[in-house]
Amino acid sequence: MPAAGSFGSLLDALRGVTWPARRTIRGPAAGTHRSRQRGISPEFTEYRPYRQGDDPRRLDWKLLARTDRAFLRITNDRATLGTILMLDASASMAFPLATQGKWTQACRIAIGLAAVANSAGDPVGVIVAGERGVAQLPPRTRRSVIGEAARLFESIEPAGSASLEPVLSLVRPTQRIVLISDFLADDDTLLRAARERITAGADVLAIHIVAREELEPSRASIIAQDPERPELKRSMVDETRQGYLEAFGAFRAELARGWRAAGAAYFEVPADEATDHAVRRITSLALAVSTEMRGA
Amino acid sequence: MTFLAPWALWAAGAVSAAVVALHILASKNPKVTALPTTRFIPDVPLRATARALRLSDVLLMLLRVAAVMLVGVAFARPELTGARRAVGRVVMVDLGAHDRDRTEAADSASRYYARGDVLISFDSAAHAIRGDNALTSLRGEHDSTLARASVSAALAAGMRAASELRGDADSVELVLISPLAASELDAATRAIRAAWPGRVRLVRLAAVDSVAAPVSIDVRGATLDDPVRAAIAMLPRADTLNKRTRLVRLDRGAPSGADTSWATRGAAYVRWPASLDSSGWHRRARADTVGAVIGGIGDLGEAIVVSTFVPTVDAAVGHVVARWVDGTPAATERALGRGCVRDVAIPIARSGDLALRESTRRLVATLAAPCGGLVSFVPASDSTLTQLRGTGPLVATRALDARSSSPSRLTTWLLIAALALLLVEPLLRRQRAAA
Repeated sequence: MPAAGSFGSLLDALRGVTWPARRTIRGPAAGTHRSRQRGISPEFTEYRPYRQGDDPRRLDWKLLARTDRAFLRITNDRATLGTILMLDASASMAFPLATQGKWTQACRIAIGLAAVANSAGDPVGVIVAGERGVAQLPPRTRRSVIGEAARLFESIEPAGSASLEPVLSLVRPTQRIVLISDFLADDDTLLRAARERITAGADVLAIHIVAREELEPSRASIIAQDPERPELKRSMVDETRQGYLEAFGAFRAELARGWRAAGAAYFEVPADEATDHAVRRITSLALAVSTEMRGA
Repeated sequence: MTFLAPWALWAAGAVSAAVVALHILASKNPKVTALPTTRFIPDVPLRATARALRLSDVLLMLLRVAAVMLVGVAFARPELTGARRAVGRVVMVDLGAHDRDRTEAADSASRYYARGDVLISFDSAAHAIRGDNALTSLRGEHDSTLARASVSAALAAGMRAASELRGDADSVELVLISPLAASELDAATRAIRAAWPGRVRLVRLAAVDSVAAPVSIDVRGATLDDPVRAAIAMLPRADTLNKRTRLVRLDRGAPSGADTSWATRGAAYVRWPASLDSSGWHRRARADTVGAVIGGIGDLGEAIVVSTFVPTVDAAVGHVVARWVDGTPAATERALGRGCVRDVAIPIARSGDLALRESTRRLVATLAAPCGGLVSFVPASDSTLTQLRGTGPLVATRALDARSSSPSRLTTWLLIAALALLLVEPLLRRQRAAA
């Protein structure tokens, strides 16, 4: 488990990074994300002829005085976007046992994304699904939420089996949901639940953490044992290594295709990738989508 | 460096090759390792063992091979050698009773002894003189020996010491420096000589008298009716002007410093107190009656006096020259400078005819003999010397039995190093198993 005080350099590296929503959002509070509502912000967008029922307070009175025509001043509103980071703390995330690289990378990515979201004024919440149930921090906008999340991660030891699917129901559908997992414990149920949240308006990101040892297993002959299902043992030898690589590759490809087809953003993050680089990769994709939408 | 048993190297090499082969071919149970993606491995039957034609546990293998090779090298008996000589010599110098100042023997030894050779001095027993100053040590030995030299002892010691020359000489030669008197050869000499396959160089010393020297006995402190004095009076008198005459002083009284000083110059001082109770010798715990006394030195033969004796004291510690019939010493002799002092603790009664008996006269003559007894150095016969010399070639040092030599220090250190490696091996194996 990463120490709470070990994120300083990561936060420094992510200073200035923005993480816009991938779509316009519906939110009351003023924030940095483009809102579906047109309102009273000083950022002018266009004029529209007054129609019956419009709020007369939005009339451009100066234009009415000069032209004797009633136009409404249309502006883009900005709203905040609640961000929920959901982490999988099952035993498979503790791999490799010596370094717990997958869990460490998951925590660092969560802290990085939380810091980026929090710097934009978005409320950030954390939910960790582990063997002992669910540990969560409700969404907060205060700065201390980063430290609280770090301390929460420090107190958790990945073990047993856990599923993120029941946790999804705890989240409001209008929020941005970040699922950080190796997706080995869940089958299609998590994807179905996520698809429902996406349909309801949620912005879902699936971040798939994989260890280097899973991508490129050692040439040494071993008997592999599933940490979540100890009864499952297979021989990793020269004859089975190629079959493993093909099957695992197919799994990852299908996982990416399924999440993207559901409307979620999917990212595969190796455990040994620099965390700030991974966070920038995740946020830059969302930024590209947002820019593209604005241009359209 | 040479190896006295090179077959051990081949054996160690074979064992090492087997160890390497085992490390290449050995199968082992693969480790059970946690892998979250285990489900993606094709489901084939679990293999209990893994075999591979590649080196496993290289460090452990190197350690085992090193231990085996160290043991092999140690058993191969390595010897660090410098430049080898063609011939090494074992020089055996006779320091028996024949020659008091050893000058001639030492001079003869210096002609044959070279650095790296083995020098052995012998009388009745033999011992090697080691070190760079062996010849100096030989010349410096001024203490007289009263024992008759034994060629058999010298040959046995020389043959044993010859193996020490294996490291720096191709051949070895035995050199025997001795008067080669017949009395120095015994029944075992021929058999011992036959065990040495090469020839022996014989260097004969000149100090050999074929006839025993005459003896002049000076009796002191004796009363006119002294029985010992009476017995000596019956012995033949020697001409004191003769240079060959050996001087003996028999003191029936108390000794003085002058007597001791006189004895150191090569004479025999016999202390035979008339009153044994005041001799100062160790008093016996219980006086007992003894029926006879047996004495004998040199070539005079044994003298047995059968009578009733009551010994009350024990003679001083030394070479026993007379014994009571129960085996306890009655007279002893010990070297003193170039001469000797003889203590006689035999009471001779003044009354009776004991002093007049022929047996008593012979006993007194024996006990009043010069140091070492009256030895006649009769030269050994030519046939005996020819047999002793032999006709074979010099003995090659490789042919010498290696078992008689003690292991070298290098061998000891090699075995210690091998033992240390074998102690480390289980620790390393345990560490590998835990990893």
